[in-house]
Amino acid sequence: MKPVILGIDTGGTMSDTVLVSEEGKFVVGKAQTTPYFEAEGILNSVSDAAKKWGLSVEEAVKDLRTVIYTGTIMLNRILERKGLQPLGIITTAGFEDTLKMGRSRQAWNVLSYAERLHAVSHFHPKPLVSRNMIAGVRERVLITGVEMVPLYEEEVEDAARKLLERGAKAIIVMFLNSWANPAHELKAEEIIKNVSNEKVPVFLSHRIAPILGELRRLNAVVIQVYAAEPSREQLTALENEFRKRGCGAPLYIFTNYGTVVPPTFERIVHTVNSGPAGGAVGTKFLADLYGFDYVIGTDVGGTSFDVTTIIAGQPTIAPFTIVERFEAAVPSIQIESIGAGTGSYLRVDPLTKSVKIGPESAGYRIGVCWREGGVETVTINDVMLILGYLNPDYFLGGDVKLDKKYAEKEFKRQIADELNMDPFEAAWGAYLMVADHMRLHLESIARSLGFSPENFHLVSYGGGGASMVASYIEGLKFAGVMVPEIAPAFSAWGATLPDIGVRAEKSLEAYIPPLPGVLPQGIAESIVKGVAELLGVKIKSIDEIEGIRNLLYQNAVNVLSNAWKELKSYVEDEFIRSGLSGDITWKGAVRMLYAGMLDDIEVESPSLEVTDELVKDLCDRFDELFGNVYATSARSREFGYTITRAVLTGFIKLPKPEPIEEKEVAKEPPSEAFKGEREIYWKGKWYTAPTFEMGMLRAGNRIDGPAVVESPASTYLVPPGFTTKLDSRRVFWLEVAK
Amino acid sequence: MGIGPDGKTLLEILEESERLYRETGRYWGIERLELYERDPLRWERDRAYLRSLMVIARESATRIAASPITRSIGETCWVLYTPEGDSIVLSTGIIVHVHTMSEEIKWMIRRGYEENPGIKDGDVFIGNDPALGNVHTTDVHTITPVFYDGTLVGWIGSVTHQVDIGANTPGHDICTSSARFEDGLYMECELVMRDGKVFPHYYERSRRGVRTPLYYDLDEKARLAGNEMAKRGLIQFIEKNGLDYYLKLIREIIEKSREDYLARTMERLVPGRYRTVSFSETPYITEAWQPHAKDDWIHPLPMEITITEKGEWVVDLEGSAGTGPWPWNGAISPFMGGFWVVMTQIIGYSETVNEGFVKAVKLKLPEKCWVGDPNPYLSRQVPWYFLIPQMQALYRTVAMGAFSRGIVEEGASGYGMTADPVQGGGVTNGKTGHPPGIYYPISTFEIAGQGLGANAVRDGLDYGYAMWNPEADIGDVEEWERIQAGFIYLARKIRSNTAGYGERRGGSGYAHVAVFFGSDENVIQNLNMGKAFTGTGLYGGYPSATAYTLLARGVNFEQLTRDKAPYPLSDDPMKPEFEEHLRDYCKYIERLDWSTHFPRMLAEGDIYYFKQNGGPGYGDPLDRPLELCEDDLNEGVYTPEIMERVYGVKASYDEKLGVWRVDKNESEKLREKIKKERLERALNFAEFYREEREIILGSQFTRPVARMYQEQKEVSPRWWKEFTEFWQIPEDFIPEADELDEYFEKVLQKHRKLVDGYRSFLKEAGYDIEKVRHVYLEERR
Repeated sequence: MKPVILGIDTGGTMSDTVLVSEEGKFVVGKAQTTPYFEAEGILNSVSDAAKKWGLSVEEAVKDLRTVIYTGTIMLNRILERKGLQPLGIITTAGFEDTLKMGRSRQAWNVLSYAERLHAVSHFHPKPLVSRNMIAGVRERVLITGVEMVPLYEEEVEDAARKLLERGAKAIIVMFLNSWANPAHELKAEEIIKNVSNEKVPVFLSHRIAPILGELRRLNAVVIQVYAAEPSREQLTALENEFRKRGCGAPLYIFTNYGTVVPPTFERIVHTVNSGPAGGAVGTKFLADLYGFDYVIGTDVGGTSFDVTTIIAGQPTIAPFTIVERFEAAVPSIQIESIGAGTGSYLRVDPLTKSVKIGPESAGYRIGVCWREGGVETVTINDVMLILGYLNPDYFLGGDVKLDKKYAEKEFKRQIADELNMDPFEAAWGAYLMVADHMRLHLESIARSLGFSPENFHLVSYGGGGASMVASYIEGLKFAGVMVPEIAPAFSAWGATLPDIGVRAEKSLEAYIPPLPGVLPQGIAESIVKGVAELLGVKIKSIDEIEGIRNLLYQNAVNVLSNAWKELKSYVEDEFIRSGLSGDITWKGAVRMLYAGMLDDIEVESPSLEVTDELVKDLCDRFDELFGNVYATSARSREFGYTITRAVLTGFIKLPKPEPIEEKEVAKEPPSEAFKGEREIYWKGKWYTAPTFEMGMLRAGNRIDGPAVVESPASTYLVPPGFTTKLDSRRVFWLEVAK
Repeated sequence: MGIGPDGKTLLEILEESERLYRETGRYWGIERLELYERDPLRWERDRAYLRSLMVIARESATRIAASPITRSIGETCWVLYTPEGDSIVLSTGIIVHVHTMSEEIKWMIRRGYEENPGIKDGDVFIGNDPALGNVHTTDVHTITPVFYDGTLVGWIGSVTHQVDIGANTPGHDICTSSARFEDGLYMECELVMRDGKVFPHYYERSRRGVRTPLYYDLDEKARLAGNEMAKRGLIQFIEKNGLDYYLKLIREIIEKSREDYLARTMERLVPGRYRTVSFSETPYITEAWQPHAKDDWIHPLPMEITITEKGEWVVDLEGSAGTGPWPWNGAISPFMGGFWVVMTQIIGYSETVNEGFVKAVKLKLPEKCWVGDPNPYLSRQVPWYFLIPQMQALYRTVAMGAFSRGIVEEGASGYGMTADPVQGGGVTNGKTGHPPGIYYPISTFEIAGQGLGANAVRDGLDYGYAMWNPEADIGDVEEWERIQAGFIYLARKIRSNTAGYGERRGGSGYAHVAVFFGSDENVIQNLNMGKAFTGTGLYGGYPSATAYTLLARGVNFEQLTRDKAPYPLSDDPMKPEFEEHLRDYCKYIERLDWSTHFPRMLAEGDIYYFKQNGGPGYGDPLDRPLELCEDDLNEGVYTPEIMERVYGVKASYDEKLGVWRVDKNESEKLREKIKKERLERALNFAEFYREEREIILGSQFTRPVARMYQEQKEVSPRWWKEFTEFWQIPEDFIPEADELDEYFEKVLQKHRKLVDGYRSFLKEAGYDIEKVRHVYLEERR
């Protein structure tokens, strides 16, 4: 076996590694994380993985083409408040408390709905920079980029001196509206460098996140400097350790949006929250492989149910990221989570007798059924064990023995008796409750994107995906439901599949008047008249505006064209700086809204050649998307449009393993795959279900429900009324039986 | 043959429901929750599904909305109602409206809408009159009847808050209206759409009737789209489960909420009587332009809550303010709106809040009080001005009641007054880079982040709470400036000393300084506290700071910045930046000891200060742990002067590191000294009683206070009786008030005295005061 890709996932306690061979096969290694010297834990983990293929570390790494790093190290620095400090911030005078006030939102943005209502439970996160290290200097640039107050340079000098004296290890500059006009930030940098004799690094907000919204822009820089910058050294050290062992492959870091970048990437904060992106990349890989443009990825973990979407072939990207409650202007794969996973606690409110799911969970401790775990409250895993879906002797391949009797006893005591119900009916009801919760979540996501489930293929993964998928898709008519064999390790696998990619974004305010044939009204009329006044053109009636309209189109063309040019040269420079070569593929997009609205939508651009026609085409695409997402009747074409953000991503392809391709054989599973029988409960009845060993099934096999397909890491439930087929890429397709 | 289930008219259904409740004390007389008992988990799943319809409608629809208030701040809500108008489930968002649209639906039913104009599939009704069912006129409701197989099976209601509703001055909570005729657009549950088509007369009237038609239009589209989505989902649910099941289920959902609410109350609170009082004020003697509105008033807002042994809440407003020529008049609906939004946060946050909750509360209202008076011609633009102070009673009741049960984490001493410290608008002149001639509104919703009160175990949440929406978001300044194109912030930061003092302090407020730049025809008004505290602290804690007006006119801002001279970034009257920095650049400074003021025209360069309030404190400030005091100093929550005077803390500043260090020994000594001084100042109760009684008997009140007592005597005879008995004064006693003219002169004199006193103070403190002109009130006459 010749490993070509190494994926590394360093968590707070465990370092996981995945070795992928040329043929697409993989093994997983585990070892304890060694925070004092990360490379040690990682190499131990590689050794663990390599052993499974009978290789030494040196043998495993010598032919690697790519090493991909992801992990929670940066996040942990924030959680433990152990980042680079003290940091100094120089900001617009009068706005020194922006970081601390956190728009108020940071006090509740990760709470459950009930706790969001319950205001006495709200607390602001402790800021990463204390107030004595934040200095304001007078200056003021407006949203249009116009300078209202010049930079008071002496105040910058004083501030820099003061912060340096207080021990600042780096200085961040964030001025209001610097994304629109960075002149003051640039000048401040010059002054600070002078004062400090260039001994302290300076970070400018418009360089890291040229995005409207001062809190998220500032958070992006602070998190970068506090938590992400310190990783650069560690990553270099890690790369050296690999070099020493004969590895010639470059080390890349996984980004929040499912690409990789070299450790020298300027906006390294784009990698701070990359953990959840693995599943999305895996989903996209499958989407590409099967040629599907619209795919929903569903990840059933121990604690949460996470949903990602692929729209028109691309993962949906969120305009900002929440990092330990701090909202940062950093793009991420859009992950919509609810606190319902297989380890979620089930409780009956003693007063109202209503059943609550989560949000707390037993996590890896499974449920009361694993006595060693010490869990006292029943979980969804307990319910699935009671209903016969899980095999008490084959959890994690039998490494963990589950006590079904005890789970039944506790479930009866904690839930069924409280509700005056038969324990199995109650277990079934609880299982459905969780499934409903997931289904409504899925439906609302599909609908909020303007599609019905029919437009999507769905991929189910995560440790609990296969055991819950049939129930959470029931009633929603997806175009197809896929359960890859690799489901339990899908995210880790996905993280070995990305391309190099840098996503650059920039806020704009480019107004586009209504398209020809649509009469400007309201705000559009005022803007057109205002522009005419600026130009000294007299307009008698609003019909006489064609000239102005064309002028505004031309203006939008110029603004967008300049923005993309700027972003393109930024990405190219990044590639050059990192010594990367290869064909760059570009994907351009804009975020747009109807003038006056506040919520923008990302619109893919068919081209990067900005012309009148392209701008109008973007408006048409926006109209269509908007009509889909909301309602056609809510379109407001008469107000015109505003482009609020230019987006450009440059990709360089990385080699990928060959996708698995087996020949499809008989429908009938081979006899050696058959393991036995088990009683399962479904919709009020007990069924005798045959059980199969997943790894023994062959491509082309079909299994009708009720049946259970087991592997050491997951249990795939095929309920009565369902049927499933394993295809040549070792993906199960779940269907309603005809 | 009616349009409701079983061919009944909606009125028949409504009356039957009310009769059964009256007779049995249970919703629809339901003795047993049969569906629930049969399968509690299916029941819960179905309830969750119905709620999710509202949540999904809101999530999707609000993205269409334009106004930042609707979108960023989430000032929206979707609610499902029974055929007779009782709320069943509601979405996230501004949960004030659990009951408001219910009142409107019932009003339509009683008013005979079923016959004229008729209620048909495809109809849409719009309403915003608080007297019929709303909180204030800027919350616009869209109500859609839902039909299944020709039968009306329910209603979907949605609400979004408007930036402007066309009142006599720009804004969403205006302070200038003295009667309905100045409130702007009113829609009395108006049929605005039939067969899916909007009536042109409504379309034109509404868009021409507000200053921000764009926002009105997009927000209305959001409500219509959301209602349609929810309606489709509801019909699918009924198709799948059957109409009979649905109709039975929704009644059980409401009855169960009623039962749950009682149970939760019994779990949390000790039965008994809880009393609280708060105040609001109308300082209009020199502000109002309407002759009948030119006076000053102080408004008492007490609330007495009796928790019965069964967990019922009896809410008594005896003693409350009456109605008058101001926009704060209310009705049942605004009151219930304010009541439920707070109750949801303190008792109902994990329950299904709906009409069942409403049924568990009994309201005792004096007919002439601000809630009870049905006069349609009163202005009801901003009942919030009374609601917000008065509803603190609920937080305090829970803080006291739950504490008595040993639940120390619940409730609070109250919260910061979320009024509306800045509203208005103007026209761009091109200097900012925006096209000239565009109207821009000043309508920030940063009021969403005031300070919360403290309780036994925590300080109040800083700059993060609004009683009407616990999901506070003050937005980004850059985002606001996309809209407020000519009103540019020079500062937005923590305002020292706004947090109510206490062992656990109240949440801190914050303040803004803004300059008019690139804009003309600017109008600005303010709604905030003044001399009266809108709340009190709890168990020895202090109320939070009140508010005042500060602005500088005729500022040559461009010259100032060309000179690179400092400009003010906040205000601390002890060390005033306005007077310090603007003395060479402005014509005059206006300082008033109230903050709610009528519109001022301000010009390019003028600078305006406004504040978001802190929350009240809990416990004696002298008991505040010293390490927390040190944090307060380092975070700018309090100035060292206040720390010393109020908290008894001595601290020194390390200039090099920029940190405060508390001197433990010195502080402890100082605290002992302050305690001693307190004892020396203390009176025994008999002395205190005698002194106070003399004040009452001698009518030694200012005009507003005397008139407040006169009003209470008239509005709340029961309250007055208790008052006279307590103070042992004759029941027919009438406090004497100054004549209006006499009082007016006193107000002018008092302001002159304040200004002169302040100038002497500044002079003594070493300020070069000669170049600063302060304007006297009498000059504004």
